[in-house]
Amino acid sequence: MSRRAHRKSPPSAVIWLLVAFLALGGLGAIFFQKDSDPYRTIEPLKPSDYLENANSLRGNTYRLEGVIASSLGWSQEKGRLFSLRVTQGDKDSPLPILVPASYREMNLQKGQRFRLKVHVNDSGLLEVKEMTKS
Amino acid sequence: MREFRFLFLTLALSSVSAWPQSPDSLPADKPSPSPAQASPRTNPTENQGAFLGKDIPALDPGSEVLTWDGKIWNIQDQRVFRARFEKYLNAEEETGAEAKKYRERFKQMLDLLSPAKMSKENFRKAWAILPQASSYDPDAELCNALDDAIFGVLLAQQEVTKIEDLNRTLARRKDTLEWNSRFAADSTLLGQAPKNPAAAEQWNREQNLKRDMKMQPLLAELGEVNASIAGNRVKKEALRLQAKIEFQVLIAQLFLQRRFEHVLLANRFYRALFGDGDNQLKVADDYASGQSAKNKESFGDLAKLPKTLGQLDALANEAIRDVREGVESFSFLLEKSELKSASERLSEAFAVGEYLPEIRLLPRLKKREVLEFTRKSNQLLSALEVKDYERAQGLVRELENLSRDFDSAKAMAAVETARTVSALHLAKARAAASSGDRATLETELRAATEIWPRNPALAEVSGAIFTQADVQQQALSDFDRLYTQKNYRQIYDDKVRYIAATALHLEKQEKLKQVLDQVQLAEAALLRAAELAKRGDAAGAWESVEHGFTDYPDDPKLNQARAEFTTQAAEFVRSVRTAQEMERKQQLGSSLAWYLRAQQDYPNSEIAKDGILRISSRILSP
Repeated sequence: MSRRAHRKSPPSAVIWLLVAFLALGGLGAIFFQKDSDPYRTIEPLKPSDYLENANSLRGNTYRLEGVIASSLGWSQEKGRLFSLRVTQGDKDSPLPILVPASYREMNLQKGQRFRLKVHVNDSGLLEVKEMTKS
Repeated sequence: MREFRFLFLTLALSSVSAWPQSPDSLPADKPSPSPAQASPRTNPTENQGAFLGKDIPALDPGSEVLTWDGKIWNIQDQRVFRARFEKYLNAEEETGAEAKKYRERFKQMLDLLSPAKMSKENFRKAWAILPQASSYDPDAELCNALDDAIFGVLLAQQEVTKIEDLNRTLARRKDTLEWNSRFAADSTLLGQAPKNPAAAEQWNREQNLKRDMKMQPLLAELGEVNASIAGNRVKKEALRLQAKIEFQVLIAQLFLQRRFEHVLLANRFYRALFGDGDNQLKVADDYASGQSAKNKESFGDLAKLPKTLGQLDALANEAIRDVREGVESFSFLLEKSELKSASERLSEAFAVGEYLPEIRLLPRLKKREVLEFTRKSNQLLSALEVKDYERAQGLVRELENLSRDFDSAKAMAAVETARTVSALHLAKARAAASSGDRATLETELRAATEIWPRNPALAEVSGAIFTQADVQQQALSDFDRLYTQKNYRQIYDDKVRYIAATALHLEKQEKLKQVLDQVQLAEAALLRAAELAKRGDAAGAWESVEHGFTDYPDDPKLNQARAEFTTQAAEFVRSVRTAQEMERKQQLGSSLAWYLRAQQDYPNSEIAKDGILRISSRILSP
């Protein structure tokens, strides 16, 4: 019993091993997460800029991530209009997004979280170019 | 009694006939008669030299206007008569020595000329008294006029005597000429005629020629004498007739002047002067011949005027008796304190016999007793004439106290009727004023004024109406000013005043309604905001105020509340305002984002909800 007791690993080593394991796990998670955002190369949209002057952003493409807050309307030709709650810092900002009619097959409903690639169209409106659930 | 009726009318008219009115003094509602009406007998050639003027009196019963000899009278205008009567009542009785002497002289003349004592001597004595009687002033020189008339008749009679003398001379000459003519005719055939038939015929011719030559001047002169005698006879008759007519005119004039004693005296002189028994009143015939049918209707048939001086005499005596009775009646009624009847009897007697001794000798003390009554009666008439019914009522009370027999019924009926009708018109005027019917208001006020111009209620009511009108006018003016300044809040605060003032003005009423609606909406918004604020819902309170502000941005209360709640819900307000600003700039995306943010801040926001709906529709519209 005592021999077996003398052969036990020291507690500091266990702690260090555990920390290393966790760090490795975290790095892996970050790595994999980054890998899962398909629009990570696109510049994110700052809601404050958009709110300030959307017209100045016309023609630009941004990436966005947010939760659908509500549906604002629907049109056969133009598609669906949603309010997307985007979090910037500690504040949520609802932004309107137009989901074109080409996405009519996709089920979109309140509370779903999406990653989006949006284009600021001529009306200064965020028009969805691509979108994936996150 | 037809004659007497005419007499009375004539007397009544002549009592005022000394004061012809100008046409201006006629009542306005009774237009002056047209020339045709005024002078039915105006043919100047036909009436030249007619009795007492060129025209016959004509009364137009419609206008009660009398025209006579180019002058116009209103027979209803008794003011002149009343004034004259009042003057008489104040005059001292004519009991002086001179007056007594005058009456004695008059009596003496009448006595001397009475049928029983009539003689040339008495005539001369009476005639001699006439100038003395004329010296008495109230006689108005009428005795002198009579004296002149008598002198004129005597001159005419002298002329007649001269003509008669001349005719007698001419008659003698005529006899001479006739005898000479006969002689000339008989003496022509003297001598022997030749036997030769031819010579005899020649001789006869010569003889006839000689006779004719002798007779011709005699016959011519005889003709002239005959013509002169005939001419003188006509002239004599004309002179006699003219003298009679002139004297009769004087008598008739004295009669019309109500100088009845003079009529009696003149009649006696007339009979003494014209002792031929012809007492026919020729002026009456002249007068009646020119009377129109209309005139007959008004005055009676002038052809039935007294035909003789005897009738005129009787009428004068009758008038004197009537006056005497009137004065006696007056004295009796005065004793009984029946002043109304007494004054009426005296005024009637005065109207007929103003110059008779019975009237002139009436003591002033007695007359004074009815003077006050008469004066007040006249004042009452004047008050009623000018429709001063308040004063009339006071005078009626005084007259009732003065006289036991004063009948106030007529006067009070006039007063009460005027009061009732005036009150009716005033009530209608009040109703018209309250309903804003200005035309009726004016008509009724005018009617009330015409009926009773000095009605105290008239001034009171019209004052109230016009004060009301002033207040209303002021309120309307204030309303216009405040409306222009968009100071709706002050209009709302004083809304009762403006509702009343604009009740009659549809256009302003519409404006007021709009103002009150706006302010009421603002008030409702403020009330709702206050409630929300109490619950700590500053954003809701602001939104409520903002709704009111949109409708009525000039309201100071809303502005104040809006400023207050803007501070309390600054974030939400900022979102909404920015959204609205972006919407205005057509930045639909940003605007929608801001509305969404506002809704996030205040989920119940109507503004945000509406904005989102509005912009979403625009975005999604093809």
